Amino acid sequence: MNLRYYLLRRLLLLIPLLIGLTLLTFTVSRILPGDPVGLAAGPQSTPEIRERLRVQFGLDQPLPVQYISYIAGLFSGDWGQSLYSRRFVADDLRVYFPATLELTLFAILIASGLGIPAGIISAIYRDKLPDQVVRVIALFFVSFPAFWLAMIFQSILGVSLGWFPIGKRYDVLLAPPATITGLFTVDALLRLDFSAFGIALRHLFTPALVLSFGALASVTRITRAAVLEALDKDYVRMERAIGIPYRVILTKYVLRSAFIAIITVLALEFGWLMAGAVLVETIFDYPGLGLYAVESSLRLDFEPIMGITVLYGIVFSLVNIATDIAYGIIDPRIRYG
Amino acid sequence: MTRMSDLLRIENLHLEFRTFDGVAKVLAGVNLTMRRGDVLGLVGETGCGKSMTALAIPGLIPMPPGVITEGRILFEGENLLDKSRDEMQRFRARKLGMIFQDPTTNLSPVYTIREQLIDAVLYQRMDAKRVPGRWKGWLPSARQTRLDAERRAVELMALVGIPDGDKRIAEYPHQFSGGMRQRVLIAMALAGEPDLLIADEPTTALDVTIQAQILRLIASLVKQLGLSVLLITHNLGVVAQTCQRVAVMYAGRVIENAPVRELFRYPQHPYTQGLLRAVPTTRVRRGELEGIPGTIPNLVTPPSGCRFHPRCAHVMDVCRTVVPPGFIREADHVIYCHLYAETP
Repeated sequence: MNLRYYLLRRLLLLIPLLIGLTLLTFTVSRILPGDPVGLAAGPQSTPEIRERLRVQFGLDQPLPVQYISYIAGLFSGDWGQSLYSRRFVADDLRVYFPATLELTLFAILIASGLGIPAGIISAIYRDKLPDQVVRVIALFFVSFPAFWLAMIFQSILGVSLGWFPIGKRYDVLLAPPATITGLFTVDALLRLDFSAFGIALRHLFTPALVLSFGALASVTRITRAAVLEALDKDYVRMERAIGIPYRVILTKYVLRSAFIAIITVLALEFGWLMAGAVLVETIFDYPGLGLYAVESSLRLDFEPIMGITVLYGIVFSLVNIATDIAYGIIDPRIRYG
Repeated sequence: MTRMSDLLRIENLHLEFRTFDGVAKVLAGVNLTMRRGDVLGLVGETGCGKSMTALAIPGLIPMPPGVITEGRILFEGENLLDKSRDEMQRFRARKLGMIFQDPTTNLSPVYTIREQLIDAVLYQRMDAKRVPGRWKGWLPSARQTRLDAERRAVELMALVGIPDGDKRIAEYPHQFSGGMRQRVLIAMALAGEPDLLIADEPTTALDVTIQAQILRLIASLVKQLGLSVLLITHNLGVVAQTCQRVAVMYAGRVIENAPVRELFRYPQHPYTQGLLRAVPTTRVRRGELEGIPGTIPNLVTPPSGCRFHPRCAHVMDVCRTVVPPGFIREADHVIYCHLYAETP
């Protein structure tokens, strides 16, 4: 079973998954009580206006017809239109999704950059002082609610010290770097605009730091457990017995075994962080998918809700596929099939 | 009475494991001597301390909970217990090779045989700081070093009887059979051209036919390379086939130490006698196989004096209080038992 075939199969399996996902979300959002059309049309609207709106958005059609035309649109790039803002969902997602992706990726970067080394140190010095210190710090940060940490950081880093802005994605008085990927930091780097990169990074830093803390603790703990387990393997003892230096055993043999577990937790955390970004985006007024999802849900604006769900579904599945492929790269005994 | 020809000399080694259940006196005065070229079998039941003795030599006893409270391990006259961590690592690399019981778990599953053998070759023969990593492979000097190491690795594979080493070196351990994996491990152990090979139950996890092949390989390596081997096993047949000398351990002490023929013909210690009677042979009729009455002692509260006395048919008063010293019968046959106190 080769990699290309495996990839193709996994990608094709995405289709039934997305149909199931959309069916569920579609049904739930349409049968919920509430009057999105009334909300969109405004309090002074006449029944005729509301009826016209209903026809305009195809809501007078039977549900199965609505569903099928929605799915057809999905494949042709028409992800629907917001009842409230009349903007196309695909256009909105193109703006908001990269923002959240950037935030989440940066948070994962912080969580693994701090968490993996901390976990390794913790494992090597098991039950000694460095281990205790790392574990207490990890417990400390995971125990604070994110909204509280967010405000503390805003007040210290943002207001008292003035090092970082307390919200938004970019300086409101300036135009962000022109879109290539939609990730401001990446776009700035690609255009070699280092001042823009600095501005984007400073806006990104505090929310990403807050977002990373929940993941940081689990990454640290899983890394510690995985390294300890790998250190206990027979081949580690054999390599020590024949005189391979401990540093080599650790960096080459132990870490590679441990990375299976570490990648698993990173993939899981990536999903959690994307979903959890809602809170952080709200506090930092960061224009991302989370904020968009909350606002759309409050208005029962179902086209954006559907679009966000589908997008999340695709991202989660892709992360899963990437993780499975990474397993096979790390451990040659794992076959794709 | 340390002789210059002694390669390894373990004197009065005491090892304790300090656990929550109490202090287990795992080794209580182990004495063992090996000369260069010796193939010494170390036998005993599960839990008698033979593997712990083997792990104490390279300094691989987990500490904590292990504590060596007394004794010396002299290798070529130097006490290994006085060496620093780095010195021990260099000692293991240059002087010692070790193989273990289960060849399936003693190789890393995620690297090729090439990667693991090259590491064994490079790190055992070079200063660790000068070993070029894989990522430096584009430097001409580094590439040459690794190519040389690979050539040496293929030679080693041929030495331990792996056919087509130049092709199979690219494979992963799971593509090798158990016997072939054990050969790879022997090749890794030999990469540093060690003086002493410690083999901790090297054939226990293998099929009987493969066992014989591995034992024959070890015997031929002894002849070819002038290797000394400390072979730990609970299988007396393996000892008879492979070793020149044998030391019998019981509950943390060596209780009899003799040339192989001497021990099988004239076992002296009551425990050794019992052990040999417990080996099935073609002359024993079904149902007549004898065991040794009683069970192995608890090492947290071991019997005083001779640790075998509660199970011994010839027990005397002195056995309950005094640890028996070594009594010599014939040349090279030492028995740690009070029964032989009067023997001149």
